[in-house]
Order: sequence, then structure tokens, then C-alpha cells
Amino acid sequence: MALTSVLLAALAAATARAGEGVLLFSQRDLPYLITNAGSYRLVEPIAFFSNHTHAIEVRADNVTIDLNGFTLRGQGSLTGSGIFQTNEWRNLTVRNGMVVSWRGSERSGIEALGESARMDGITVLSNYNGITAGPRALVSGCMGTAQNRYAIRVGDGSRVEFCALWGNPLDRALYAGRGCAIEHCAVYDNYGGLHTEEAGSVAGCSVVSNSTYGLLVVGTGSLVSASAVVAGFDPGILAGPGSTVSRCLVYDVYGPGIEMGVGGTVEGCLVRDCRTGIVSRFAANIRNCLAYNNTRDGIAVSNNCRVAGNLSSWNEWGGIRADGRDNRVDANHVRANDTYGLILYSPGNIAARNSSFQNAFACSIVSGNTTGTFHSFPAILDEPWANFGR
Amino acid sequence: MKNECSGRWRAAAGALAAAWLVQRVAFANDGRIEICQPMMPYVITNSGSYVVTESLSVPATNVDAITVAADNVTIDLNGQVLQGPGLSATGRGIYQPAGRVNLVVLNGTVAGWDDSAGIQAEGAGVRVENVSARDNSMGIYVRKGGVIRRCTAAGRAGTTWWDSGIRVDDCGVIRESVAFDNAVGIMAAAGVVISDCTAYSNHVGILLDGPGNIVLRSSACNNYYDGIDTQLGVVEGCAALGSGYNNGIALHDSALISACSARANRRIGIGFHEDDFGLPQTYPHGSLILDCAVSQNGRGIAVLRDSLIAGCVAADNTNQGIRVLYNGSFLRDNLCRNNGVGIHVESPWLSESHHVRIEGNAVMDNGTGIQVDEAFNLTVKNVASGNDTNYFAVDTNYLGAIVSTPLNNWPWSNFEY
Amino acid sequence: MRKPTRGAVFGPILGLVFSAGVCAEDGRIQLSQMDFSDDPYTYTIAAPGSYVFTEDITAVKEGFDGIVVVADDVAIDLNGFTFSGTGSLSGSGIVQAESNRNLVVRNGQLADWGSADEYGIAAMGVGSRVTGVKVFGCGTGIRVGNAGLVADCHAASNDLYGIYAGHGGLISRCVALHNGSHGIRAVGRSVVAGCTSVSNATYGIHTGEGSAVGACAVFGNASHGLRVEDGTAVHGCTATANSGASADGVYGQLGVVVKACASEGNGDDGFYGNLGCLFADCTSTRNGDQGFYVQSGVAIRESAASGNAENGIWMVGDSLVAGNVCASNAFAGVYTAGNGSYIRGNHLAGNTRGVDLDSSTNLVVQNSVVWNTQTNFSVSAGNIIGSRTVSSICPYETSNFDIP
Repeated sequence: MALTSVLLAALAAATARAGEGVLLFSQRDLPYLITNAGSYRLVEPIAFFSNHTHAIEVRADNVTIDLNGFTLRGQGSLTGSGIFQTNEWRNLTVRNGMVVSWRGSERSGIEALGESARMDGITVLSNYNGITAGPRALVSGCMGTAQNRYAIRVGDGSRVEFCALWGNPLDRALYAGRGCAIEHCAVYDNYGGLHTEEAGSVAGCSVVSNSTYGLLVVGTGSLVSASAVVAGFDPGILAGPGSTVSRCLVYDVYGPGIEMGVGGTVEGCLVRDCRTGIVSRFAANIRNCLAYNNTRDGIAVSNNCRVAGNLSSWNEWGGIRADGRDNRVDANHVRANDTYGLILYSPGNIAARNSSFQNAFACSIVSGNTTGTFHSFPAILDEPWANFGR
Repeated sequence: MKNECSGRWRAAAGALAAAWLVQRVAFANDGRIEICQPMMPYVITNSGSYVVTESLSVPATNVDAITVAADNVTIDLNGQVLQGPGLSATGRGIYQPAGRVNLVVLNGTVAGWDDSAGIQAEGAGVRVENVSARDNSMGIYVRKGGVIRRCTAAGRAGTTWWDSGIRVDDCGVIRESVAFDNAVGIMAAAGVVISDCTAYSNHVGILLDGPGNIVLRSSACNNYYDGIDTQLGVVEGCAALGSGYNNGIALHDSALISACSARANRRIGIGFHEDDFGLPQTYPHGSLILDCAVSQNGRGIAVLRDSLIAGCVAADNTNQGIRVLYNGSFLRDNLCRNNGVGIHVESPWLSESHHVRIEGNAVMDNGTGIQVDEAFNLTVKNVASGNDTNYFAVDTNYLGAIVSTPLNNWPWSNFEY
Repeated sequence: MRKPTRGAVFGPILGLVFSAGVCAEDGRIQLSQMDFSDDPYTYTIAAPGSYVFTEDITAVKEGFDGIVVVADDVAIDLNGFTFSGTGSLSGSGIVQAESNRNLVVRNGQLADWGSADEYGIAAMGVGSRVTGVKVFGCGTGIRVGNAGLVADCHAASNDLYGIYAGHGGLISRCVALHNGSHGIRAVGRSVVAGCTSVSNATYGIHTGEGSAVGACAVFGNASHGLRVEDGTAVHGCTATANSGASADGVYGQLGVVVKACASEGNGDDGFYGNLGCLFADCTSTRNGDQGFYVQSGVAIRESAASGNAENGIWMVGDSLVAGNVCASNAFAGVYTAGNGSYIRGNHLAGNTRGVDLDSSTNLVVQNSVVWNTQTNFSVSAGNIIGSRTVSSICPYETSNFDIP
């Protein structure tokens, strides 16, 4: 009986066999070329040491690889990728395992360049890139640390959700192409944080203690919401033109808290202990925000911006500054800033209905601006556009 | 040599032979290494994928059941129970020492580690999925880099203050999980995203002990002290109901609270901790509270200086709908109805509360609509109706004329009707 | 704990033939048709353990439950198979008493277990989890007790509830379709997230107090699409084409916040709010009655109501209505039957009436009320209306624009 079991077990382990429609594979199958659609399951840890050769290459559509909790390990700096698929194919799924030490230059632990790849429950550790996926990928519940470059990089139209990325020391932890959705991810203590190209959506992400090379960066026409950025040397949130940053917290960033491109909206954000709290060059709408205790201005704009309904206080420079013209500074409350409450450096702006209290000076406004009169207590006014200052 | 897990043995070739000789491993037919009772307590020294084939127990109180002394380990509990000895158990169910990386624990129950943890991962990179942790002092703990999904953490009575049902210190995602009857239901230090979770009947429902944490779309109800305790983070789309002693959402430092509901909490719906005299015990200056509904609390919203509260509804709170202490806050476009005081700018114990801007709010059917106890505040464009006293403000406030008609040239007027 | 096996000497080769408690290779106890084909017809699990289906299993006798769990810490993996009852006279599929806890059921299908009083899965103990299960044609599809978790499940065509969770539960990424009562019901203090509930006989989703509901879609249900009780937070949901005698898109009780939701084409109101509710950034379009129907002490801000069969906003009184757009509603853009509301800065256009006040002491300022077909302002005496002007040169900041 024992011998029978041994023989059967040995037979089971030796070759990929079709049981329950799942093909099993192991170390001895490497390098493994998959040319048929189907489900494949790893039955032991794999270590593969051949230079410039991928451990597993998929040349088929609709392939699922279950790493079964095992590790796919490369070695050295000349590896191929752990799992590789060109963009000629599609619908590769890889799940439930660890992919480690695939350090060949520009290679990845998993390099799934085809469309609609899916990664689920994968941990990538110490690769050149961790997971590289093509367009319309789904990366869910993955972790990544100690890559040379990206922990996760996805192509256009992809979705990355519920991932934790930390300690990637040389590049951005997460890089996403155009039109990607990044949701509920934690990005912590990397060289760079989270980047998307244009038309991205970032929601519910935490970007904490990343050093530089961009903390949370989104391209043109993107949306960032319900996210937190803490600590780092770059702008906390750098948003391309036409983007919206809504209901975000930025704290303790050495650069601007939020830097908004042309024609964007910053709404309902809390920015504190950064350099300049919120900054925009042109045609931004900054409203309902709180800029507090920043080392420069609370809010700083250049031209054609609207700054309305904000609270800006305890900043080491001014509460709200407009360097250029054609800005509207309306119904804000600025208080206890170390220099001026309101600063209009150029002519051609509108400042009305603001209240400026307990700043070193209520305002610094050059001539040629349209402003409501600054009134002090206790006068009650009939001037609808008056400012209040004390 | 006969294997102890299943009565079978398998010749192990190559690199596996050494492991087999050392550990006398048995393999499931998908290559995973079996863990069974005779192996307990078990120290994993090789990376690999392990599956538990039967319920496991450790009778000794000071022994870890499974120690993961290797990187890249997956443990599938396979629906089985890892049972601790119960009272005074100082050992742990699954323990990953510091310095180790990549641990995955799936599909089972860890129970009965009464003075310790069901899963304690001191290393980094830990994924825990579909695990029930019950009757432990601490259910699931990950020090760094954790993804926790679809777990249930049920505590036990008498746990110490910091013991949590689910805890990730730095960098993690906790999603679709349930924590009840713990000291702290869910706890995070820094950089953790918590979403779609319930924290029910704990001492503290969700505790955010550092910056950069986010809580989304979660429910924290019937917790004893606080529903959600936050600092320097974002809380959005959450419900906090029925805190028996303190607040629905408690602010330890400034935070962004958006689209939340706080109802029937003993002290404050959203706000700082206060003592029995109403004085602050925490100092969350510079908070931003938007689009929240607070009702039937002791106080609805209570903030300190330089906070912005906009677009909220405060109704049926016993004391203030919105309470502001100290200088510089901005209260805009809120609705306060049927509170003791709709909006109260207060100065307890000789503190200052100046330069608060109260604008465009509607206060209705309160005892007092808007009450300003200190000077040099700006109260304009508000609307008051049906209050016992519509406006009360001390002298030297910037109080827009109180009118009953908008047909005037006083654009900063407050209305009453 | 393993049950004794009769085929143990033949090990894995013949284990599946001689079933009755045979263990799988990984130690789980296998369940097969033979375990259910003889008296007592119900498989009772009386000890903690892990069980796995090895084939589709069908009950052979009416009136019996399939699996009864009278122990804690039981895991049942349906393994992709279907566990079927005998139809409306069947017992329940998998049942666990309230006194037990921590039942896990995953990965398969249940069908045809009983009628209204029976369940596909009744995991009534505390802390149970049901994931990846499809349930159809049962009494209630899936029910879990307090602190339960239901995720990635699909409940369809059940006689009563599709999915039902106790206090402090979580229902995530589920679909409820064509059930005889609510599609999804969570008693209270729960989270319902990422769910879809379609064409159920009563509510699409009904949650108790203190819940959080997010990213859900409710469509074509015969009563309220989404009903939430006191102190609930609702974010990012859609309610469409829920129709019936009282079928609001979103119905909120006391102290509810509803943010960034859309309600379209429902039979009754787009949104209903009881005392102390907040609606912000919502859209309500082409509903059968009001766009927003609210009681006292409600704030409706920065929202849109258009094309509704009655009023864009209907309110009792003491409410704040600010910054909204109400357009092309069949009755009024904003209507109140009560006193004390503050209607400010709205754009009311293309309705039959712009502002319609049937009571007194409401304040109406800074609105643009334009091109309403019957009249811009229909107001009773005793209301306080900012001056009405057709000119951009307004004498007062509180003026309303009144452009016929």
C-alpha cells in the first residue's frame, strides 16, 4: 500500500496532469511555455536561473495561472521575467503567490503586456519591476516592496485596487496609464508615490512617507478624491490641467500641498503643515478648503482663478495670495497669518466679501484691483461687496 | 519512513529530500506541505505553501502554535481551526518574527489565544483573507504592509485597552471585514485604507493612531467609547451611531470628515473629546467637516479653532447643534434645527473665541438660534426662525443687522422670521 | 475532527467510491450524494471541521433540511457544485442555529430549498461568512446572523429575501434579483457596498439604522429602491425605475446623509428624507412624483431635480434648499406646504411654477426663477420674498431674478 501511494504520488508530482481540468506544473517544467488556453497550477516553489529567459511564457489567450501560494524566484541581474506575455495575447490571470527577484533590466516579476490581464493576491518582492500589465488590466489585492523601479505599472484603462506598496526605493511605487482607476491603495515609504496619466481616477488612496519624485501625481483631466498624502518632498498632490481634487487631506509635505494645473478644481480639501498649501497658476477653482499652518502661503494663485469660501489660517506667509491678474477672491476667511491676510500683487483682480482677522496685516493690495472696502468692527454695512478686516 | 500527517509517504527528490528529512513533510497532491496535529507546535523554516489538514490545538499556554521563520510562506488553514489553550495563553496562533517578509494566511479560524494574538506578524508583507479570529486578545496584527480582506475579528471580554480585533500599523488595506466585541475593533497607525468594514460593540470601533489613514463607507455603531477615533486622516461616507460614553467620530487632531452620519452618541456626534465640564481633552485644531448629518447626540459637532464646517445638518441634539471653541473657525451653510442651541461660539473658562465667521446658516426651532459669547466674531447672512431666542451675541461682535425683510440695502443682514 | 472511514486502507484511490465521511487529500471531509440519500436524509455536523463537496448533491426527500450545523467553526466548501433541494416542500439547504458561531459557506450554488419559511443558507450564529455562493429558488436565499459577512454572492428568484444580514454585518459585491421580498436586507449597523439589487418584489436594499451604503445600484424593484433607517450614510448610489405604489428611489429616515446619488424614473419620489436629513450633490430625474420629498429640518444642497412628474422639491418646512437646479418639473421647482424654510440661490427654470409656497414665513432670496410656464412665483401671504427683478441691476443682494 505504501509503495502504491508512493508511486501514485510521484506520478502526480512529476508531470503536469489534467485533473479537474487544471494542469499542474513544477520546477522541472521550466522554462515553461504555455500555448493553450486553460488553468494551470503550480505545485512547488520555483527557482529559475537562466539568463535572459522567462520562467513562464504565455502564448495563448485565456490562461489562468494559480501559483498556489508558492514562490516564483529568479536570481541575479540577467533574468528574464518570471511570467511573460506579449501584447499579442490577452486575458492572462495570475493569482495567489509570490514573485521574487526577477532583476533583469527592464524585466518584471510578472510582465503581462496583453490586454485584460488580471493579477489577484500576488506579492512582488525585489524585482526590477514588480507587476507590469498592459491595457485594461485588473490588479487587485496585491502587495509590492523593494523593486528597482515600479512595484505596479499598468496600461491604459486599467484598474488597481486594494494594493499595499511600500519600501520601493528607486522609483514610483505605482504608475498607471491613461484612463485608469486607482482605488483604496496604500503607498508608503517609497521613493516615489502614485502616478497616473491623463483621465485617471484616484479614490481612497493613502500616500504616506514617500520621499520625492512625485507623491500623488495625476495627469490632465483626472479626479482625485477622498485620499490622504502625508510627508514627502514634492507637491503632495500634483494635478494636471482640468483635474479635480476633492475631499483630500495633505499633511507635512515639503512642497506645495496641492498643486493644480490649468482649469482644475480643488474642493473640500484640508492642507496643513506643507510649504504652500494650495497653489495654482491659471483658471483654477479653489473652494471650501482649509489651508492651515503651512510654511508659506495658505493659498497662492497666479491668474484667472477663483478662490471662494476657504479658510486659510496660521500660515507663515499670507493667507491668500494672488500674484497675477483676473483672479476672484471671494468670501474667504483668513486669520492669524504671519504676514498679510490677503495679498494682491498685481492689478486686475477682484477681492470681495472676505474677512481678514488677526493677521500681521489685513491685506496688501496694489492699486488697480477691484475690492470691497475693508471695514473694521463695529460698523454694519450696506456695501454688499465689503471685506472685513481687523 | 512513515509520515505523521496522513499515513502516506512520498519519496522526495532533489532539493525536497533534504527538507523531507529535516521536517518529515507530507504533501497534498497539489504540492503543498501538510500541517497536522502531531507537528504542533510547528516552526516553518522553508518558504513554501502549506495547508492545514485538520484542526490544530496547542495545550501549552506559552507556546506559539505556528512560527513562520521563513520568507514567502502561504498557510491555507483550509477551513480548520487553530485552537489556543484559552485563558492565560501568552503564545500566539501564528507568529511571524520581525525581519521576515511575505506571509499569507487564508481560510480558517484562529481562536483562544486569550492573552495574545491569533495572528501576529511582526515582519512585513502579510495578506490575511477569509479568516475568523475569535476569543483572542488581539485577533489579527500586521506590523507593516498588510492586506486584510473578508476577515471577522470577535474579541473577548476583559481585553486590554490597545488590543485590537484587526490591526495594521503601517501601510495596509483593511477591507470587507467585521470586528465586534474587541477592545478596539480596527486599528491603524499610518497609511492604512479601511473600507467597507463594520465595527460593532467594541470599546472603540475604529482607532486611527497616526496620520494618513482613510476610513470609507464603514459603520461604527454601539461602541462604548468612540465609534471612529481619528487624527490627520480622511473619514468619508461612514455611520457612527450609539457610542455609549463618548463620540460618534472623535477628533484627536485635525481631520477631514465628509458625508458622514453621527447619531445618538452620548457626548458628541463629531468632535473633540471633552470632559464632564465640557472642556476639551483633545485639541483638533484645523478640522474640515463637510456635508455631515449629526442628530440626537449630546452635541452635534464640536470643534476648536480654525476649523471649517460647511453644509452640515445638526438636528435634535441635546445641547449645541454646532459648538465652536476658540478663535478663527468658519461656519457656513449649515442647517441647525431643534437643538438646545443651534450654533454656539463659546468661551469656557476665560478662553478666547474671536474671529469666528458664521455665515449663511439656517437655525430653526432651537432654544437659541445663534449664540456668540465672545467679541470680534462675524455673524452675517444667517437665517433664524422659530427659535426661543433667534440671536444672542455680546457686544463688539460684527453682527449683521437682524431684519425680518430682505427688502433693504443691508446685504450682510441676518434674517429672523 | 475526522470521521472514521471505511475505505481508508485504499486511500485516495478509492476514497471517493466509499464516501460517508471520507477525507480529501487535504484532510477535509468529503460530502457526496450518498451522504444524503438515506435516512435521516439530513447531514448533521456536530463538531468543528472543514467539509468539501465532491459532486452535485440533491435532496431526495421533501421536508428535510440538507445540512444542519450544531457546532462552532464549521467550514463548508461547495467546491463549485450545486446543492439542491426538492422544491417548495423542501427544508432549508444549510442551517446553523443562533447559538453556534463562525459558519463559513463558500464557492457554489444552492437551489430549490423550500418556500417562505426556509432558507438556502441560514447561518444564524454570530460571525458567519458566506462568499461566492449563488442561491436561487429558495425561501430566503442567504441569511446570516449578527456580525455576518456576505460577499460575492448572487441571490435570485427566492420567495422572500435574497440576502438578509443581522446587526453589524457586511454585504459586499452581491447581486439580488427577482426575489419575493427585499433583495438585500441588513438589520442595522451594517455596511452594504458595491451591490446590485434588481426587480425584487419590495425594496431593492433595506438597511437598519447606523449603516453605511455605498456604490450600490437598485433598479426595477417594486417598492423603494433603497430604504435606509436612522443615522445612515449613503454615498454614490443609483436608484432607477423602481416602481410601485410607494416606490421612492432613495428613502431615508431620520438623520440620514445622502451624497452624490442619482435617482431616475422611479414610480414615486426620487428621494425622500425624514427629519434631519441631508441631500448633497444628488440628481433626481423623471420620477413619478417629487424629485425630493422631505419632512422638516432637511437640507437639500447643490443638487438637481428635473423632469419629475410633480415638484422638483417638495418640503414640509424648516428646511434649507440652496444652490440647486430645478428644471422642467411638471408642478413647481420648489414647493412647500409648511413654514420656516430658507430657499436660497437656486435656479428654477422651465417648471410650471418656479416657487410655490402654500404656507407662510418662508424666506426666498437670491434665486433665479426663469421661464416657468405658468408663473415664477406662486406664494401665499406672509412669506418673505426677496425683491423680484428682471434686470441685472438689482437693488438688493437678496433679490430674486424673476424672468418670465
